[in-house]
Amino acid sequence: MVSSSQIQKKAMERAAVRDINTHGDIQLICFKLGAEAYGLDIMQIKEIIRHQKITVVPKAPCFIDGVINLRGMVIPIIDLRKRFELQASGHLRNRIIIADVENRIVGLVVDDVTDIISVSKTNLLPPPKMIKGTEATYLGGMIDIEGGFLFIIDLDKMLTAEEKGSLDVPLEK
Amino acid sequence: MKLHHLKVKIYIGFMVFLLLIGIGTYIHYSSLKEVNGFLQEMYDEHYTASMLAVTQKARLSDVRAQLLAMTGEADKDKKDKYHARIKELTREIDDNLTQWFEKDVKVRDVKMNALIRNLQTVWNNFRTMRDTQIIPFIYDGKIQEAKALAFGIQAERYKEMIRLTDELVKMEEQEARELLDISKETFKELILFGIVASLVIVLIYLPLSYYTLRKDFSEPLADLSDHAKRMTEGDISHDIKIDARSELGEYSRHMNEAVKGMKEIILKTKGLFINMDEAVKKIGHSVFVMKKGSEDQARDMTDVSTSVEELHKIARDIARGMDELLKLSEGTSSSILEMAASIEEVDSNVADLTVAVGDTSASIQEIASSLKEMASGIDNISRGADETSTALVQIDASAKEIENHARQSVKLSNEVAKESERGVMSVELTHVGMEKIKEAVSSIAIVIEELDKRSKEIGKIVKVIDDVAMETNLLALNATILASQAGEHGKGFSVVADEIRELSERTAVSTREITGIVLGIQGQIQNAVASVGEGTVKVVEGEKLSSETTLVLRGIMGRFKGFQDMSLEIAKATQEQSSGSRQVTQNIEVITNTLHQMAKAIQEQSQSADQIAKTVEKMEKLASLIRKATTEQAGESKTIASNTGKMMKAIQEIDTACSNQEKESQQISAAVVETSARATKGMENSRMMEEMVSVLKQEMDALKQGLERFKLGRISMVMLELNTINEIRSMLLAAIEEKDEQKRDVYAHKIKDLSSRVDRNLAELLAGSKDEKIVAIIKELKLIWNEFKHTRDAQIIRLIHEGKIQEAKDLALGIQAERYGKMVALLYVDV
Repeated sequence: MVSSSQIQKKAMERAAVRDINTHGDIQLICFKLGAEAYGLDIMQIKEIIRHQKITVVPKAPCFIDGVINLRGMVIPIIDLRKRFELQASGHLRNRIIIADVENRIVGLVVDDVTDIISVSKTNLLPPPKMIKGTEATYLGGMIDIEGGFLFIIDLDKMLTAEEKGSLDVPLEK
Repeated sequence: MKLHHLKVKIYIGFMVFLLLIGIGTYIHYSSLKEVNGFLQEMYDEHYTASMLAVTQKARLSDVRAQLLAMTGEADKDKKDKYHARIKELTREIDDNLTQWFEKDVKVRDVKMNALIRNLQTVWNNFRTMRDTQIIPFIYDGKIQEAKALAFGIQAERYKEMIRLTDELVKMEEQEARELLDISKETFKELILFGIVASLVIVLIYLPLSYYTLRKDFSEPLADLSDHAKRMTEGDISHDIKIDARSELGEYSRHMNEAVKGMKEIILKTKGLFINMDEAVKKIGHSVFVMKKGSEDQARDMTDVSTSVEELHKIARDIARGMDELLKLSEGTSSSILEMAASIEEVDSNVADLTVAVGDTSASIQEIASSLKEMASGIDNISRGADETSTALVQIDASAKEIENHARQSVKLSNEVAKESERGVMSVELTHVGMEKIKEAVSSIAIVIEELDKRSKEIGKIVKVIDDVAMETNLLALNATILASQAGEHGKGFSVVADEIRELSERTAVSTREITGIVLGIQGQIQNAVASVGEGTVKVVEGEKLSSETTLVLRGIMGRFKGFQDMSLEIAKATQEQSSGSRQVTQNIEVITNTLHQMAKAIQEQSQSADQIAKTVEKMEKLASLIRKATTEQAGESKTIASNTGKMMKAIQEIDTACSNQEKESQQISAAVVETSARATKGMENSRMMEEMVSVLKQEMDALKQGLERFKLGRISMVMLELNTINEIRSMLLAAIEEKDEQKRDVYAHKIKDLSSRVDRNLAELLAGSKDEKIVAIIKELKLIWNEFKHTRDAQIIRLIHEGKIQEAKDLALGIQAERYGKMVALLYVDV
């Protein structure tokens, strides 16, 4: 068991490293939902694991699918397909990205993690203007890649304050 | 275990394949495991240690910050709070240091251990000074002293600790880099090996297996199929040529032996057929001779009849002469009696008497000559009877010959039947061979199924490799994430982890390629299963064929059975005829005996007649004596009378003999009639035999057609031509015998057709033959055939038209028969 103070320390350290990187490139983890490619800042990611059985928790907030047990830690799981209102197609959801959203550990169900890329900040494009509402808030930008655009998701903005609050309630086993 | 068995070959191929895949898989697996271990080590030890060092650094600065804050703080409560915090951090640092030092002391090198020990010493000094001097100073309010210590020696110690920690991080990183270099190398080797192994499998195993499948299955099966097809069409002139020592090779050898047996049988049958044809011709000829003999016999009988009638007439003449003689004798007797009664009248009548005696003498001489004629007539009869007898003996001999031929035919038929049975037996042998192949094919099918199963297992193993590659990919991804989050320190990690990720992706690609290859092999196995199925179908066809062959052979056997029966009938009929002619011979012997008796009687008569003549001479002498001494004669007239009585008696004896002779002549006539009847019967028998011979010929034709179904190569085809030439010969002989002009023309036309056919076939054979020996034989055959043809067209046919039948026959049966024999010999020597 890693104590909370240690986690806090690590987070602080990471934030410091991120500030160093702000001047140059950012590293993105690319993943797929159906045919579309998305990117997440590598600094927000803790690790990537295989998909495993998700235990449904009664009376849990509706945006949480359930929880998994990762080396003794109970981690809430969010299905990004549902979140992005994508149709549930035949693609396998075979990876879970363990991410750190403002010191809250959550798991994100995706189809596949394909690559890690480095992008210069100058190459970032603003999100399309036709997207409005909540969706527009968490699209941090997009990048022109071979065969289309890669949407960069800002995890901190993806969850509403209310949702973040509900995650503060410990979901211990 | 024999290496050339198909089953064993497939097993060996499969084993080699398994071995290749197994070695590749093992090396892949162990290399990946090694790489995984390196990564794990890197992650577990160096990265964790490095992170721990960083954390330690942060804690140290924290402790120092807290202490500085505590120094500047006036409130005691707050001081305590800071102190508590310092204590907590100190405990954490101590714990970590102890843990760090003790836990991994064995795996680290000396330099690193010295560093850690150094760090521990400095830290202990730092802590001791803080706890024993600075903190008491702070609590006592000696802020200046505390600050002096803190910024003096403590600051230097702090800097030393930070330096040591940084050095540690660097060393860990260097170690990790070395590990990663090793794993990179290993990965390169692994990929290289994967490519080389795939290439080896693709370049060696697949062509080899394709070649083996083609050479050991498809080609021999196609050959067998072609051969079976040819056999169905009746062509058994070729051998199957499969060199393989496999089951298929064995099968083809069995098949070849069976076909060789069949070929021998058919050749023997053909030989027998020609012999039989010859035998039938001989029978025909014998029947012809017999018929002629019967006709001669009939003619001779007519001659005998005529002679007997003549004899009869002569006998009647003799009888008439005798009557006259008797009458004359009676007249003489009365005259002598009158002479005795009137002795005086005697003298005057002596002259008359002399004249009368002279007359008598002449009459007697006439009788004698008649008797001689009769004797010669009897001789004629006797000769005729002898001739008849000889003719009958000839008939008997020819009948015996026929019987012999018939018996020979029966023997030949028996041989044919035996050979056919052998043929059936060899076909059954073929059947056994087919059964063996069937078994072999089914065992091959089982082996292939096993192969299929094993290749599926290989697929499973490849799946495991794929899973390991995926796992490595995931690990590498996580390593990259951690490395990039470590910032500048993690940059080296990040690069290596990226490379590992790429390598794992390439591994995944090559496992997918292996899966593709395994799928291809499975497809080929399916093809093999299909071709084995085809093989089974062909074996079944072969079985059907051999049973058809059995049917054909049984048909030949049946035909020969009928032929045998017919030959036996001929033998029986000939025997009957033989016994008939023996009876005739016996009867003729009886006639001859009778004739001899007659001749004897006539000789006796002749002697008597001579005696009479002598007596008459004496009488003449007496008459002259009478003339001289008439009176003396009167006395002797009694003697004369008695002599006359004797004479009369003798004449009466002759008369009796004559009547006997007549009776015997009648008997001869009856016997001759009987002989005639028998001759007619003999002729009927001949006709019957002729019919039988023609039926026999029809049977032979049917047999010939049956045999012509089989193609036997060049020599056998030449033999067929010989049969045609034989046919031409028999037609020519028939034409010679034929008296009807129109029918003879029909024969000539047929002969011309057959001859041109022979010419055409011989030319074709000569053009199509490549074997020098066969070409030489056909050339010589052609030469003799041309001579044969020339003699026939230029001489025999001309002779027939001129009516010189005998000369034509002599040519046909002489030099032409010799040429035909030469042609037969030419072929038989070589066959």
